Amino acid sequence: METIVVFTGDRDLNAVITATISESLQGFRIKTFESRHGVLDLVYDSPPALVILGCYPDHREFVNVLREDPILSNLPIMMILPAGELVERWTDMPVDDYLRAPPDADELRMRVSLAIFRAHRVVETNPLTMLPGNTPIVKEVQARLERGAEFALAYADLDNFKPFNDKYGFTRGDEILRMSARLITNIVKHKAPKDCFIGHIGGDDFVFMIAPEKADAVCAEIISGFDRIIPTFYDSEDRESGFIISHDRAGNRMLFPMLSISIGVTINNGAFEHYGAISSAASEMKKYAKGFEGSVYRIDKREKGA
Amino acid sequence: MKTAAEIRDEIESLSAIPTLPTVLTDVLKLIDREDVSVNQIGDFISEDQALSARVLKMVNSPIYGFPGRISSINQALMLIGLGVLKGMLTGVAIFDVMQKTMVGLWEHSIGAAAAARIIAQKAGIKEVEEASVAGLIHDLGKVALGVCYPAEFGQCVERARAEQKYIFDLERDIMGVSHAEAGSWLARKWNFPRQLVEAVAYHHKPRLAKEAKKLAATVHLADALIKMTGFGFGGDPFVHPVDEEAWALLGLSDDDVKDILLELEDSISGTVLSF
Repeated sequence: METIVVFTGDRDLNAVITATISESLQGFRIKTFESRHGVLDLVYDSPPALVILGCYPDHREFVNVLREDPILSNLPIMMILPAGELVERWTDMPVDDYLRAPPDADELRMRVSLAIFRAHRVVETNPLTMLPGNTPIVKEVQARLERGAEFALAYADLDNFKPFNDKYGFTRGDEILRMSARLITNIVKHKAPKDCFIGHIGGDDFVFMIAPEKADAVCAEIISGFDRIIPTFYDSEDRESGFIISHDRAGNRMLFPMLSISIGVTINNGAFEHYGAISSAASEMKKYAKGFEGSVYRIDKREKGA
Repeated sequence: MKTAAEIRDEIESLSAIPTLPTVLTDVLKLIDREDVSVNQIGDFISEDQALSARVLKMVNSPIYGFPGRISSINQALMLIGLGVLKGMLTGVAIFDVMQKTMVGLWEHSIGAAAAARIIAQKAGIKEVEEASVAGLIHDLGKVALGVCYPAEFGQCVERARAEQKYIFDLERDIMGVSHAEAGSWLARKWNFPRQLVEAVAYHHKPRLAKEAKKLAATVHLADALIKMTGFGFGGDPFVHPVDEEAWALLGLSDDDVKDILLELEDSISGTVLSF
């Protein structure tokens, strides 16, 4: 159960806020605090869905204490400002939203649920591709497993990406990642619009989930699209020759073929119970696919052990 | 007369170029179909310079994060996605006034695209689709000038016919800028790949191209060959001579050109716009 922290420095205001939001927000535990002491402990122990601060003499300073730690930079914070207090620069008080004390009950309820909704929506996207990152990926896989959904989990990554980056630089490498994200997203959404999910684990690792019967068609189209587009991102002499000279991980100069994409897919037929198990099955398939030259996909169609 | 800088500002403020009314009708029919595929839309767009320019502008927009990279319509469509594409097509604009000049120009552009494709194949150029796109949009600047300065551009077309002059020279006399310049401004502003910008800018003087000499030469020759067939009308009363350096760069023989012309006749006989 997620927690909402209420720490306004005013016992009566704490009580009013708690009473107001507990009526309308089910599924949240509301914890009130009278000193900042316990707040930090709780925030680090299990990050709350929302922190409501306000009317406390050093609330400005406390917001900055919270925000200073990068790990808390996305923690949703709402400030209840005393009547008449103006904030000239929000950089001095980096909160997500504010309300005027004493807060109107309807306004408070709506703002609180909006703040939580917004936090869920923007949770950890990869800044390069704006696709959901690791945490939402794990959550989504786990949720599907828990409701017993039938789905294919695919891991995709690029072959020879490191030597490409070494030769052409990170800017061009980032272009490749954005292009790949776009391509995967469009094909998945077009071919399998129902219940699809696309995420970016980081670097050149992507993940997508689709209905099992669509897996073949989607993977085949991603591979052919990738192979068609990729030469565009090379300088003309490399495009002509079809390879680049760069360095491997050990620093040896050698020839590398054009970038390709490898996809490994596993299908959940009810045999997987948790994220770790299905994730390693898909990783294994991707490793297997990477053993083949060029862009390749491999779908694990083996029966899972009963 | 406006200064070149003023004209450049006005040209660059265009967010798109309009297309012909018939094209719009066909677009709407096409996207209404439930089962329409990306390839079908791609084939359609590849025959219209306004739509092609729009697609290239969109896929090369900085928001996608790989500006100046994509010069192929089919690749662009894969990266834009069908949903966005349909939205974009519904917002397409048509010419306020139906101009005969523009119909001729449209045919000239489609023809140049076909010619550039065939030349690229014969000359062993790998990027055949890029050549075709460059042929299609090489006269983008004429549409832009026609939209921004209809009276002046109309005068250019009229005087080219009456005085037997190149429209390129008249544009410079009357407006102070040529369609090649105007087109390259737009292509650059819209983040088109550098090769395409150069092909548009130097299709009259391919030897001035820096990185895309071969592509500019291809379009230059395509422009001449399509004029020879008499298909469409780009505004010039006669066929321009082919630049020697461009000719040498492509390494084609006279027989190759005969083959190209035959193939071109075949290819355009199927492409008749209905008005």
